[in-house]
Amino acid sequence: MEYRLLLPELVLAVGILAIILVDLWTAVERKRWTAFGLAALTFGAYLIAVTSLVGVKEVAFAGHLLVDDWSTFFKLFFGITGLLMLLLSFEYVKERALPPAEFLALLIGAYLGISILLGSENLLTLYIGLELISLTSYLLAAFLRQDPLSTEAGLKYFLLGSIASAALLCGISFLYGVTGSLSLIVLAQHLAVAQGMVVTGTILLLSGLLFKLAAVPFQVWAPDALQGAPTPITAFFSVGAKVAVLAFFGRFLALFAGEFAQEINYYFLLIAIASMTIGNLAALRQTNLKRLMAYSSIAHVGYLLVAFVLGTPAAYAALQVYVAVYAAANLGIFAIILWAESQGRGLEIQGFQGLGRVQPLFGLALGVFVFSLVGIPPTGGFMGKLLLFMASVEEAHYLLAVIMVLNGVLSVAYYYRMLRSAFFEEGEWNLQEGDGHALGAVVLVAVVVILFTGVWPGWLQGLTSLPM
Amino acid sequence: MLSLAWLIPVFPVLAWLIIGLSGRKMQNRGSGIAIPAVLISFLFSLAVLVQVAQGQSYHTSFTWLEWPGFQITFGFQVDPLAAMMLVVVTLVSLLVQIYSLGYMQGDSHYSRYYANLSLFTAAMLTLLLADNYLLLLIAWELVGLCSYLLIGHYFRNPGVPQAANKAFLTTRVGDFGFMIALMAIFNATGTFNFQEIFALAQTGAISQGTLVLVTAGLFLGAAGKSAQFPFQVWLPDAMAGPTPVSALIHAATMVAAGVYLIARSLPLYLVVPQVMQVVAWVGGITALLAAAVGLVVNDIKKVLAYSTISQLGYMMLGLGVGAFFPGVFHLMTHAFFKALLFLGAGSVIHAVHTQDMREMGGLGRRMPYTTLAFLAGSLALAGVFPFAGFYSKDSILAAVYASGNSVLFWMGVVAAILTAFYITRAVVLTFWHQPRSQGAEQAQESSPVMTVPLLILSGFALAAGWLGADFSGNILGGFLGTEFHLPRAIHHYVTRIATVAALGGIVLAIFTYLFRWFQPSVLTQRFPQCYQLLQQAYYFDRFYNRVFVTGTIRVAEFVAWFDQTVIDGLVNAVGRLGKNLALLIAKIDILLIDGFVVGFGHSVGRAGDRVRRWQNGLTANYLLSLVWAVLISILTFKLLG
Repeated sequence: MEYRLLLPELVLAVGILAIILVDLWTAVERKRWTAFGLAALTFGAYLIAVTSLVGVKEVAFAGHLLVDDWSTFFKLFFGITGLLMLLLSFEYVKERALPPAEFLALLIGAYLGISILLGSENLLTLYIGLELISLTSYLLAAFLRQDPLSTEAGLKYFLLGSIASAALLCGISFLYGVTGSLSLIVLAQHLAVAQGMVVTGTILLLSGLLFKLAAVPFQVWAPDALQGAPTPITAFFSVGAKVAVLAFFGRFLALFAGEFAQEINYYFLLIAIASMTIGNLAALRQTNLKRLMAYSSIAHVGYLLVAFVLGTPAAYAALQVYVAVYAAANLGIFAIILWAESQGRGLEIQGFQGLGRVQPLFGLALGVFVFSLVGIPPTGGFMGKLLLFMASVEEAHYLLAVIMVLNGVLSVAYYYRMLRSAFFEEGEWNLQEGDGHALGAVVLVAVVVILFTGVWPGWLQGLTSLPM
Repeated sequence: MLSLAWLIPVFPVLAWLIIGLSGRKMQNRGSGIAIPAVLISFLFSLAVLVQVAQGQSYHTSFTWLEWPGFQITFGFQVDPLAAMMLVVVTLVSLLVQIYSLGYMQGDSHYSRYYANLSLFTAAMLTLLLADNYLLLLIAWELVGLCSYLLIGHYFRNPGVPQAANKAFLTTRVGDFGFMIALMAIFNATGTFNFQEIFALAQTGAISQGTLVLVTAGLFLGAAGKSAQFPFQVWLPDAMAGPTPVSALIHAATMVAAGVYLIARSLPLYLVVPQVMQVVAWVGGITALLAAAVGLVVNDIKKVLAYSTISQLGYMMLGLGVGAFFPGVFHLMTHAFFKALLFLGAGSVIHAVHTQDMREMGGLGRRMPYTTLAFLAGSLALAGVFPFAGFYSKDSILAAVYASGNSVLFWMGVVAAILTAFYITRAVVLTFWHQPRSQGAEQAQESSPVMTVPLLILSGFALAAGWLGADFSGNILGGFLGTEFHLPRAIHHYVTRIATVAALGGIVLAIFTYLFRWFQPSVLTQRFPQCYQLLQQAYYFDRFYNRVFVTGTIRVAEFVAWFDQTVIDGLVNAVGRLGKNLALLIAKIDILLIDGFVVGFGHSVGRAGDRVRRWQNGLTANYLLSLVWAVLISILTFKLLG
């Protein structure tokens, strides 16, 4: 009955095959609807499969796969973002005349990788999951074949990603060499006493993972890759692999103990502070929306890493709230960016000029997202930050809390420029009759999640659970 | 009735929701929903006030959040301070909204304006009802957001977005302190609730260091919100909003929130006298400096803006010497007379279509009600017997005098002279002499929807002070439950000095501007530096622009540049090497394959190009930077370990 635990992943794999196969027999004009319909079914079935695992805590397949509430929470999260991703790309695929089946097969492939990564209890499973995410991501980044920026994004991401993979593999082999096992449980016993090779191996492993997160100093690829990639994929990059790796960190870092855990803590503290500060500072002068969001996501990763520096249940629970709200705000903003792009407004901040007038509801929603990202009540972003601040103060990390608050002030400046464009500047819009319904749905979901979490953050606490 | 106190902010919220959700269908009917809503809130507040006066109190709370390691409860409370402020806020808001019927008539965003006013009022009312710092912060930020929206109401006009932006960013810098204070207090006590925190502070359960941090942080937040030195820069610019909004911001909402926070937290401040000193000094300095700027400003709204900053400084000064009652008393009277002054100025601006006092003049005969009202407000502001400001300012000065700090006392007195002078100057320039522009010549009295609120507020500007006067037995003091008794001799002494100061300022201004015995230009030409210093409001804007704005932009540019051309300088040589290698490889590729497979040269050439593209200097640098990152990580561990 172990396959029951693998059901979500199996659903995704079947979905990929079905989309590719069915596409072969589908008439050209129906390809998009068919592929997206199947993809929606896949994610729907995935969500049902994941829901059936709520409360289950089991290790299966000779210690390769773990199902517990921590991974189930994130699988639910990804099932929902998967559906939102479909809505985000539905129009885009048509506008750019992209082959829908290939696009979705790759996207779901990335989600399959994420799902595997979330359940990995073994470094090999981790690697398989991560590589599946990476390979599909390279292709998705370069999916606009005619666009030099997109191909460049794919290539750069690929080249740099291979180095990261190499570091990761190197680290895994070091650890295997010392411990003779790839199982996290076995590894845990060795991580308590840090010897030379264990340290080096761990750092190489962490480097590979931090690369995926685009945490400073591993962030160099992110702005280029996120700017060049097709916009829905940029949205995916800003939440997908990052959140998956964060979830894995939650599991992995809980294994460390003793002095080594202290050192890891300091290391993450430095990375967290550097990420939020450099991300925010670099974002201040960006004019391209996708690039701006890339730096913004670097900064937010910095905040999220704070949860691991603290390592307390309160911090982990705060992480889950933060992630949910962050993803909602990001996907929402990208929905608006996509809409503006589809109206021929380009991807510079000026593209938002006059948005508040021509589409007041999107303008208002943009306000909600920006306020959430900055962390101003009564949005969910405030709650996420507040819970994180409180968790850090509980652990007597005062300086960290101060730096986080200061960074919050800093970030106002660049997020604000979006609002200023949308509300205080005039722009020429030639509204085309196109249904922005799919994008509107994403915006609506995001606004509801953000405001609801802001007023009642307790709703997530029924779902959250800790890896320890 | 008291148990329904939580409904007070709900009505304006409902108004906001209804207007907001109806969108364009609302057209110009927004006021028809907003005004009844705030009227109901006002009636509720009155009923609450009566019940609180009878000695009842109200407190309700519920668990809002259960979290691993802690829980947060939220609740509402009504105590005398909150009850008094509820009435003041709802009354001023009601009058401002009625007045806006005339002032904002025909505005293209009429309903949105009323929606924002409703939310603004609701946020302020929530702030007053909060029983804990967290809820207060949430309401506080909402107040800031709404004032941002309202200041930016005429966003098409040049400079307006910047003004809204400045208000928002400046107050957020202060909020940074608030946030820190919040963290520190929760860490020390495990609660956000006022009563619990005050109880713990008084028993000495909270360390002195924490209390200093908390009170300093709260004061930073309050100074940002209440435009205290050195955060005063945003308030004069906030005049870009519609004038009734300025009235609301300056009288009852936004800036009052900062003073309210300090008054609310006074039990904490009383435990840490060093921070109290800072509050008092900041208040005193702000009162004096802002009043001095008021002397030279020609924009009628800016005169009032600097006056607000200065008067808020008085309140902080009062609270800073530990005098709860005078500070709160002045907050209340100031709310009425400053709302009156702004609405009066709005009436003038509405009629003359300019804010520059040099283009006014002679409005006394043309706008009798407005003149009367503005005069009442001015006398209250100057602190002339028996107007409201006389009593409240007097009690602040008396408290400062009694505290024994004569420097602060005399600063307050000088500020009072300056106050009397600049407001008299404004009155004379606006209402006396001959009209100095066509707009002033053709000015007509505003419609009754505007003048009636003015006359009502005039009544308050005259009489509100009597509530705290000795002859009435200090009803307000009794209601607030604070004994404020100073020796009679002190009172008499201070009253005499304050009256001389007020009358002196008025007489000086009358001689200068009404009788023109004396040309102010003589002074400005004699001391051009001083004049410029005041005109430029001590160059704060320029200083902040140069240091903080430009500085941050420079750093950001540097980081962005650094990030895009990572360690370019460091590894330039390596980068070039990589590029040359790539070229070489490409050449060899082409040569080799050209040699072997003739005819495919073209396509291979393209492949070679691609290789070059991959391996251009930038990507090589990126790769190298990753290697560096890993090496730095390992090094970090070696250093840590």
